[in-house]
Amino acid sequence: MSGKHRWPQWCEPLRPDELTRRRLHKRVMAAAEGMLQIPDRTWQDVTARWSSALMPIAAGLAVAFGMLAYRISASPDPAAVAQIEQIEPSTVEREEIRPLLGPDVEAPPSLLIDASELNREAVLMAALVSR
Amino acid sequence: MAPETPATSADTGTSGHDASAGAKRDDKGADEPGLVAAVQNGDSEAFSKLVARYMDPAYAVALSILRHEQDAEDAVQASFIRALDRIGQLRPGSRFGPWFYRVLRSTCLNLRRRELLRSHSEVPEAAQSGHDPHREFERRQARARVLKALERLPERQRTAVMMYDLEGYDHAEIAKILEIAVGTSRANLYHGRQALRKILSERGETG
Repeated sequence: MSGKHRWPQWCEPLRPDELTRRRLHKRVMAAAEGMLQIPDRTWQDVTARWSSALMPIAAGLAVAFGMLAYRISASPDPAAVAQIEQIEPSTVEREEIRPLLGPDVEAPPSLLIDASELNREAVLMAALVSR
Repeated sequence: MAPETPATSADTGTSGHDASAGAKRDDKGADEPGLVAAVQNGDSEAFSKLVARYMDPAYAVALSILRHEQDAEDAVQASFIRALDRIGQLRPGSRFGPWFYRVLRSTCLNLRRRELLRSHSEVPEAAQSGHDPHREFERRQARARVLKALERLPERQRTAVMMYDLEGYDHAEIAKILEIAVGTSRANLYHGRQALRKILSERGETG
């Protein structure tokens, strides 16, 4: 099937006359003018098109994350602050007490028995020391 | 259902063109897939070629459905634009014709259904063309006779005659589209043309 074929005699009257044909062709081409654009062919075109399409979304996400990061850094968590404040004095206290302790108060490291890992040497050493 | 008729007798139904019927069907629009691909890439020249190729049959089909010249023009224009808008739906290698005629028929039926046709019915049609008024009158008379004759044909004969003679399908294509046997398509065409000739001759038109 093709648009190009000889017309039978009976349907000749249905054919558009030359004037109508030209006018209609012109109308169709004028209406189609804006639709006949060269589409994207190269990967650069496609990338550019996608980039421009995704740009607002990326910008929105960046702003949201930026605001979130700013909020976290600007206003610390009160609970964490309280915890830090609770821990700080005890550390200071230990730091202050430690110099006051005599060297004999502290158990010599060699006598420490690791209860989690009992072995023969450690038990004998403990017995020897305690005797 | 009409009895099946041999090909030779079916194709002798209308004088003046049947001898070339086989030859004209040889042109299958071999370059059409290339044109369609070019249009899909935005080639306006390829689109212009398709428009020129399908202008006449599209106008005739639209006229036979809408029976109003200005409406037929509007429908043809809208169909070409609609087809261009959706040309991306055509797979590579597909033919434009069958798909375009579906778009055209749908557009015509929508136009008719919505009754958007009344606005320009008041325009005097003779004033729209720059032809000799007498010749224009005769042409319109002949056109009206053919349209009325077509209207009187049984549906299957009218479909066969229009698809074969106006749209340029061959019998194998008509049989496939309408889901009938090829012989049935030949018979419908034969009887349709005979009936058409008879109706037109009754009115003093030899067709």
